[in-house]
Amino acid sequence: MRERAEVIENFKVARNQFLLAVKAPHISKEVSPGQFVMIKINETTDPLLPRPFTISFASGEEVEIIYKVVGKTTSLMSNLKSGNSVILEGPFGKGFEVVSDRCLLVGGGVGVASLRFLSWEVHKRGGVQFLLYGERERENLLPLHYLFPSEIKKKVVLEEEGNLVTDFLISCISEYSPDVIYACGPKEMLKVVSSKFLGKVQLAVEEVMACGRGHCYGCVIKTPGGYVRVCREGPVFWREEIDWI
Amino acid sequence: MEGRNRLDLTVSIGSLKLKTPLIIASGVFSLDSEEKLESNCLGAAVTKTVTWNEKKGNPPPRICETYSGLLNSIGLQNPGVSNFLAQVNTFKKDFPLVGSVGGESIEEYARVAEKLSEFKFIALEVNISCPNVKEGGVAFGKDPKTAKKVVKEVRKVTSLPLWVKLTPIGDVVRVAEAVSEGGADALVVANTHPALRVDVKEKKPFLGGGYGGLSGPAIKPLNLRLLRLVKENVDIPVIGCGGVFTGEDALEYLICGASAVQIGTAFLVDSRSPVRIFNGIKEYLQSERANSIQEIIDTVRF
Repeated sequence: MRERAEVIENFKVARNQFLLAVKAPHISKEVSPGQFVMIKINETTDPLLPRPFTISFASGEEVEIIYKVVGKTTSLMSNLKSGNSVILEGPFGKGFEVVSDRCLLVGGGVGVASLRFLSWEVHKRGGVQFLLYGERERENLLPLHYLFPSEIKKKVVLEEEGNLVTDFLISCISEYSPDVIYACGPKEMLKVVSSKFLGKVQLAVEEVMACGRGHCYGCVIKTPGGYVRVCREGPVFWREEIDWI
Repeated sequence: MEGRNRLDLTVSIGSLKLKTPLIIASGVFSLDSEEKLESNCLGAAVTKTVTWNEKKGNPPPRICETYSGLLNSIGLQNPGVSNFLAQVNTFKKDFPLVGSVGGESIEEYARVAEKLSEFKFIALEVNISCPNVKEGGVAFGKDPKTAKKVVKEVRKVTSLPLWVKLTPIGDVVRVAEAVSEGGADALVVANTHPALRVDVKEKKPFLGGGYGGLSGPAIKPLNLRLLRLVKENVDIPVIGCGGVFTGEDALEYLICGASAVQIGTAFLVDSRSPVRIFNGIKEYLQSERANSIQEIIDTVRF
């Protein structure tokens, strides 16, 4: 589904990070946690390609994404005002599979935003969850109390204080004994999460994309069976599906 | 189509008739994408290039953006000809398909072409211009002798119309003449331009494969010139390819003598781009008071 979506609001939620809410009734109705949309903010050829963003939340006719300003598209996006519009296509990809009601969410950087919709879904089912969230500096921290269900337990880890999110993985697992871990963040973090937990692990991965629609085979990730498309076979994979090099 | 002003958008590429001059280029359309194409405005779609055996493709990242351009190094990832044909069999199409032939040796090109000929493709496109593979691809396509040999061998095993997709590097006109003598029915001008982008922080190429192929609006004027040069020097039909994003882009190629145009990068950017391009062409024909697209093909004046 391709729709021109009106911007409802677009505001800063942390240093360099924004929340964009748009009116996209079709996508909002179809999307499930972990799926993404392709966003093109204008009809020009520079930037040329649409960019993929995980849906961070969807309700009624609205969908939200949380993004970090890293390049031309996201920089232009940060200037969007309510009443402007963007072109949205999606939802695409295979999202999270909610397999248990006892889960640990592990988010690194803005990747934590990709776990938000899932968290609300688990919350709705009455599941028990724990959120482990790592950032570099305090100023980068997203307002978890505003974004996630207030009832869930949270642990925030700051690199500037000398800790990595993965340092707390073992203690969280033993304290909480989850059936499943859902993770999104930098590749190095995902690798560690994959290796330290013996239970079920689902990982939301990122790769540079061109079409997002399964055509170009540009966004592949290595699996035991060869390269597969992040946009179609992913972006959420079971740990066993990924062949970390 | 409006009332008395019925526009004839059909084109001929040699003996082959297409409903419209727009063709989806090879590489940007996957049979297993499950996306429904805007078939009303399409004359045909070229499949992704297939080789005899499965090809794993190049390591990621495979995509990198440049100013109004797209740099890629996919490396012809495909499941091999047998698995590919299984996909073709189950694919529900409402537009004609052209099969794209790849190979690492002249013999492999011929074997793949022979196998594809058993299926209902309206033509075969020989890909001797992929910049992202070690064997075959550009290595064959920039040398007139090898290019001609490939086409000659493929010609022997198929009676389907044979298109040859040329590389924009090297002496394009000489290669065009050579493959025309080798038995090509039409030429596609042209594939991506071998290119590079470097990450200055890492001091490494952005792409996992190192070099890549550049496509998109950035290369349109380059390929348009090549198409015109080939048109002036070779008798068989030419098909434009490179940076077609709007009706005007397509018209430039048609006016320069292209019998049809291919849409690649624009289709990746926007699934509805063929509709936009199609409408652009129709509007132009109406404003020119032309009844058919044939009236504007090869009308450029220097």
